[in-house]
Amino acid sequence: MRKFFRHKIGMHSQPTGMVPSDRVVTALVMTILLFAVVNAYRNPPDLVAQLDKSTGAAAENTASLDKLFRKITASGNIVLRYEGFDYSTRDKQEKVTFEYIRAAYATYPRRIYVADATTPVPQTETEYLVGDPWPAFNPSKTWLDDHQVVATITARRQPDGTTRYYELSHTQP
Amino acid sequence: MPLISSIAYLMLLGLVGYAALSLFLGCEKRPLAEVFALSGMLGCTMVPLILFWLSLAGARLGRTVLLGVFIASLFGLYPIWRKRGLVVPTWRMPRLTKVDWLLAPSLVLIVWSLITVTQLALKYPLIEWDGVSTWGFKAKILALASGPELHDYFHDFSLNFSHLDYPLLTPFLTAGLYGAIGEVDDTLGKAGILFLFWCYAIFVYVAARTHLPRYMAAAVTALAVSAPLVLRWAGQGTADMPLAIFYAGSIYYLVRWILGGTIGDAWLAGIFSVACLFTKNEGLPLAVINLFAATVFGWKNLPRARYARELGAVVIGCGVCALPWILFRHSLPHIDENYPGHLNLSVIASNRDRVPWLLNQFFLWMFRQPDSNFVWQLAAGALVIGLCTRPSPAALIMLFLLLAHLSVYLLAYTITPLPLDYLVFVTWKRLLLHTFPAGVFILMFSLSKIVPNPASASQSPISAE
Repeated sequence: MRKFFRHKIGMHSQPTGMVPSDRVVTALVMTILLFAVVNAYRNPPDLVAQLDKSTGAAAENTASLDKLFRKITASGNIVLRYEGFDYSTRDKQEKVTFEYIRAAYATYPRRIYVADATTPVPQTETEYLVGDPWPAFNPSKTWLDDHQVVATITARRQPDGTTRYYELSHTQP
Repeated sequence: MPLISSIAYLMLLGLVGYAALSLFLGCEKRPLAEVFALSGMLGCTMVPLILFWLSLAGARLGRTVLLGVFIASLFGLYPIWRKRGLVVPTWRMPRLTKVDWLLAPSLVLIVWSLITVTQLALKYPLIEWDGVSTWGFKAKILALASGPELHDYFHDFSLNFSHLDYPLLTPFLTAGLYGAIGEVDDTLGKAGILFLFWCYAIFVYVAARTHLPRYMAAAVTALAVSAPLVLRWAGQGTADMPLAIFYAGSIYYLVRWILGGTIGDAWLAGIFSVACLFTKNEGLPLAVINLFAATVFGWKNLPRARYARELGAVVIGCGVCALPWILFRHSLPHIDENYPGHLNLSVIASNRDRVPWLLNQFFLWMFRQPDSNFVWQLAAGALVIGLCTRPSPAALIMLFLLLAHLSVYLLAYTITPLPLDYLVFVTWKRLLLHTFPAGVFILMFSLSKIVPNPASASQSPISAE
């Protein structure tokens, strides 16, 4: 039918093979698509600027954190403890945990122990809402020796709840 | 030096991908852009798979192993050339017409998106939570450890924050680059994923161009690669964008095969499905859905003898590729999440009140702006118009795949033991990213029926249906 129609109105010589109604539809569809493309110029720059800013800030923190923990673990593995953090807030979940994970990543193959190898340490933020993820970890002297632990670090929450500091206490001379 | 080594690694990905492409397609002629994109995507599938197999055999990742892979693929090309011939890239100078000026805004947007993602990825180290804890951590371990040391990692519960049983494609892709440059650099380490993203952009254009006029294909590609969802995740070093990319490859070639394509299309669909299940746990149900769609729709649409022969060959071949990972994963401890462990009728029944809320959320996510550049709205509109006038079987199969995909996520959210609202809050954008290619293809196939591209009708089994 379309072939017949095209033949009757002499459109068969068109390079694109389109009939007039096709042209209208094409123009309409292209207008909508172009509108969507032009619209797409609106949001991404804001998103990218925001992402650039937040990632840049996080990268600065990460660099100092990496440096700190690489220095601490220069001579061996460490045990890390957390004190004074509230598990019901996102303070622990989003900041401290990320710091721990980033430090564990940056210092590998050195190890930062928050638990022994039989205690699962969860990762996702949501898992922390289920309960205290890291039970108290008090390894024996033998365990520390076996795992080449040279220091225990305590991360404490400051009374104002905004800052933390890391306290270094050597477990071995 | 690291930059040169990185480029050499990307070329290795391309070479291995080209060898695999020739193995699957034989001496078919394909456009240069498609050969480039598919070689890159297949290289990012095959090299991590090969590295995984070698690591199971105790090999330590490094330049020696990569050189071995390079030499093996170079020598592998010879028997492929003798038996099947190599894929021939074709190039034809585009003849632009008056309406092609409409390409301009789309091209600018595509180039801007690629540059932006590249710049964001290569400017900063791994910052994204999952990027560090799961994918980056695994990549570092795979690059530095081997043999018993690697075995210990997969059984050390205190490192469970890195999800011991998560798939290894992205970590091996990154670890391969670390092996090439001889050090762990989590900024440069994202180059492999970036390369995959560039190949994806070209792939989407090639797929769209097969069915649409040039300016319309460029517009669809621009919408696909510049969506805020994509820009947000493509350069973060996580496995979400790779999963979306492999899923795009798997469903596109699956539909092509179902609608009368070659066995090469079936192989590509199969191997990209394997890539999905080796990229994220979500990939396993997606591979199963693809197999189901191939079995059912292929049965209805293809000659029976050909259907059985091709489906059987691809399932066996891809099964052999996937089996080592499936067995290895089965041997690992499944400590957290473990969705299959919660998948039973009593859990589903007790959580059934979640379903209406989740369905409502799905609808809101998909049609919320500015996350997806109007792609869902356009796809829905084009699909409805297509259904009323000239329905596209390809778009309908894509719709089936999309609904099945969403059903998997609906089920996962229904049975999850984790707090639902917070889980949804932190995951939904990534899950939407995984389904995004299906939306792009629904739009593309529906448009191809409304505005057909006569120039390419003879080349594509879908256009010619």
